Amino acid sequence: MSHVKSGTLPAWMVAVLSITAFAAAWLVLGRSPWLILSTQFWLSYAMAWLVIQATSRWTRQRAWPALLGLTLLAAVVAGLLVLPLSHDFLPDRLTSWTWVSARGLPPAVFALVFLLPGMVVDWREQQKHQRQLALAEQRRAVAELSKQVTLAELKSLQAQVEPHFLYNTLAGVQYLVRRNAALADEMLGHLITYLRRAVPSMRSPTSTVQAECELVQAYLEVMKLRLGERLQAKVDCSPDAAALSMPPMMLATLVENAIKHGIEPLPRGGRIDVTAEINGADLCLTVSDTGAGLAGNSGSGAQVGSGTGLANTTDRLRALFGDAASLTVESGVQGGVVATLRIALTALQTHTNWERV
Amino acid sequence: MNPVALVVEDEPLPRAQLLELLHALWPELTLITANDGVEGLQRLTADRPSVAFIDIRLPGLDGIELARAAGASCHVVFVTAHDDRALAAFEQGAVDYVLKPVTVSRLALTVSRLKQRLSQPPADLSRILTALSTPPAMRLRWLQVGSATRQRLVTVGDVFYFQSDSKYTRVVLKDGEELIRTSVTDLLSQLDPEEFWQIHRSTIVNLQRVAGVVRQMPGRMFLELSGRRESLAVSQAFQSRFKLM
Repeated sequence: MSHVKSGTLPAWMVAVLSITAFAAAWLVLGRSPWLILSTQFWLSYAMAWLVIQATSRWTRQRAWPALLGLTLLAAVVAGLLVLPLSHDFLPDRLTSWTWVSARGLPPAVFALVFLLPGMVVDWREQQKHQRQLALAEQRRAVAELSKQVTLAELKSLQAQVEPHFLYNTLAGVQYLVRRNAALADEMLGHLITYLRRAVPSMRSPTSTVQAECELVQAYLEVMKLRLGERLQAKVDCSPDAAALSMPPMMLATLVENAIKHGIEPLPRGGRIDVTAEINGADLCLTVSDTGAGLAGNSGSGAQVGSGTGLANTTDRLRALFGDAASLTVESGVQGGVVATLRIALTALQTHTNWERV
Repeated sequence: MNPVALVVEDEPLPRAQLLELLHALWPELTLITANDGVEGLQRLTADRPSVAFIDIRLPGLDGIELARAAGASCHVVFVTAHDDRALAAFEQGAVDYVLKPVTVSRLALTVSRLKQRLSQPPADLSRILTALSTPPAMRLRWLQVGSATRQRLVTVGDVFYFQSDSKYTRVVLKDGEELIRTSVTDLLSQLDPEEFWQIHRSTIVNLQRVAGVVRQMPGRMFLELSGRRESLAVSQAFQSRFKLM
């Protein structure tokens, strides 16, 4: 009946062997004092051990004093229980403390002495196991989170790769090349600036406010040339926000939405204003347009939508910053739409450090 | 009498390019243009072209609606961006299309087909138009809420739960609620079923916002939400989904 799990005889076999040995001894030797004593020792150890095993699930969740106390209690109780076997046992002797301790303590102490080492080893194993579990759990949680972020980033990439913009702009450049070389040159220049910012931006986990503003500026310049007078636009990046890091392609998504849903559907077109500044404790990016507005074409009542740009951006924000960032899209005061992206400055700092780890 | 073709395209450069290519490929064609859907409709009724090149995405009147108006009287060729879902619809029909940006070879093919078909009545567009007008079923990702003067967009992720309230549905968010007209039944068919569970005839909950499940003895179950005080009752019919938690 040891605590060592492997390489020894199974507990039941030990039990059978010991019972057989004791039974045989009793038969052969009769009631001799030392046989009685050894039986008492063995019985009290066995009973205490059984109690420990039975309550192991309870003790596992408690601190070590509980286990120690239980072991002591089990040894004492077991010692008392084998008293009737003593060679000079008489029922009235149970009231005498001296007799009880003389006959009961030895088995109890024997049980305690032989149980304790096993207890200690077991306890240590358990603690080590708990620590390993906790570590594995932590690792799993980190892996899960980074997987989520990767998925969100992937989704955003899929949404961002806008072939229409590229093909249509190149087609425009191709048309202009032989008819208005200066204009073709201008459009190509803005397209190159856009690609210079967009391509590394899409691949890296972080960008800067300045880079994102330059990206949308180039994009808007191209669209101004393509849409003619239907689009007016201005990008205003405040100097104290410029160096801050921020996730890539979010501002571009908002501007693309403004063009696609705000400006393009209107024959008269409209104006887009992009601002980046520090507002209180947040980085604040706004894209406001004077275009079609949210009321859209379905009249009053709520419109329900399945477009992915807005949803992907909020998913990414939540995955990266939790509650420290927000994106609101509301109807503007003069019609049109205002999209506001806010990220707490402290969260941005943590985000940068995390990316560098 | 020279055939008349109407080109309806909002962006100046592709419009100019299409006009130039058509002039090169079909010199006898008289070309008229329109910059948006509304102008397109005006030119249709005023000039009665026999051919119309219509961009699917137009400001003002939608290209599809314009085609519906034009289809009976003239041959319509759709101008469409590369990976529009529309492409599949076109493969089956007799209606022609060109991809944007336009290539000479593709346009030449379209022109020769048109020349052949000019003497016949135009192809029936009804099936194509239905296919183009029905948006494909997609998951609901955001809602437009608010009053007539002030509206905003809310992503479904921000919604804690939907609950029907007479003719409207309450959209309950972290710091307030809004009303929309879409019924709980319609919402159910559009929301992601992995993320949004119906817990009651009148209530749909966002699983991400559920903090815990509380069971009370006489078979009653409530959901606690992380960020809002109230608990939501789960009716008997829907409790089985939570029993596995």
